[in-house]
Amino acid sequence: MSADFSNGATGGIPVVIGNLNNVIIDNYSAYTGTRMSNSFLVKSDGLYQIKMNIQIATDRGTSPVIGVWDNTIGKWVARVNDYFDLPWEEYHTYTLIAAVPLLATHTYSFKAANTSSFTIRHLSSGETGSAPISQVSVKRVR
Amino acid sequence: MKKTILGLFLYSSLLQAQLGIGTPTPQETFHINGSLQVTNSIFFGGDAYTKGSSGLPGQVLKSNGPGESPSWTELAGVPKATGTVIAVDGAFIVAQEITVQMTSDFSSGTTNNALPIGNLNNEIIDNQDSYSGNRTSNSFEVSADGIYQVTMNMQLESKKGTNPVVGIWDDKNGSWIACVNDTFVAPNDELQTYTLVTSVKMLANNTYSFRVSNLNAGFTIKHLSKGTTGSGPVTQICLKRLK
Repeated sequence: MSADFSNGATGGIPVVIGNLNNVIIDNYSAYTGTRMSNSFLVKSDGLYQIKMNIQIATDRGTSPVIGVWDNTIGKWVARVNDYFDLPWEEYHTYTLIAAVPLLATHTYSFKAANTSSFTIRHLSSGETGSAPISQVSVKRVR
Repeated sequence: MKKTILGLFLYSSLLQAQLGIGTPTPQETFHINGSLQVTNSIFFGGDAYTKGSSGLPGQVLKSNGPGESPSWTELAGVPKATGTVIAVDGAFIVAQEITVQMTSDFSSGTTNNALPIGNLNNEIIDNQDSYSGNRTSNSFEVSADGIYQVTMNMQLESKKGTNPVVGIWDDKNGSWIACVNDTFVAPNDELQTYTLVTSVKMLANNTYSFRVSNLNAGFTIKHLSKGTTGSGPVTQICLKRLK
């Protein structure tokens, strides 16, 4: 990410994660990310490894969802929804590792949803320095 | 002209035991100062009484060092198996890799023993056919002693305040070789993901399994994360040889 991304409560309808625009690798030029949105294609039908490591702050007692959304059919294809049991000022890292079939004719996005407002963190920062903390990747397995 | 060439050849052979073409100062027994066109086989090795070898289709020429004939050999770095190529002891090999996901949830009550995780039988990768998993168990072997990277990402449902353990179990010695045992902080019936990323030494003559235990409460390992807007696999285990 190039900055934190904050959003109000979404209910069950996920929002596209913004600021996911520090492109580390995109070897088929298939990804676009802006301050407000992101989307990507895959070049071939196949099985793809999804890795998302996202640090979130939100309200205690909610279950934020992060994952990969199929824009063509309007559904999650991979997601994780752990319970958030920390005060708002604290952070919980959500990790999703899964292999799922993706289709070349569909468009996908990295999305998030929660019943409370939330912030996805760009950096882990402290008095002794800071470093990027949230990363997502998609890689073909077969 | 022929006499001149023959004379040069004899002169070279007798005085220097070296023949040069396009050079008056050959550096080896036969030295061409220019290009060489070959329209048939080249033979390497052999001796005064045996013919050398022209190799097999697809083979490449390998130097055997000064004073030795080169030899034809298989091209290094082109293994036939599927996977990640690593270098081990100077040879390129395909790293053994097992990646599995679940086909449905796996539940158990309180257990004093580490249980093999059942339903871990959606094989994404098993490039050496060494893994077996069914509804109640799983096990695998590694084909060579080495260091293996373990990545386990598993979503659990259990009782708040207990410490479920997930990891890799050495079936031969009856002990964990890699595991994670975070405190379950979510309320009962809520979800928490356990992540283990580590590297361990594994032996070819052992059998291993992916296991789980919780001494103080029952638990469920989730197959899918699902809601009204769709679902996707949420638990995966990957084992991959590093060296």
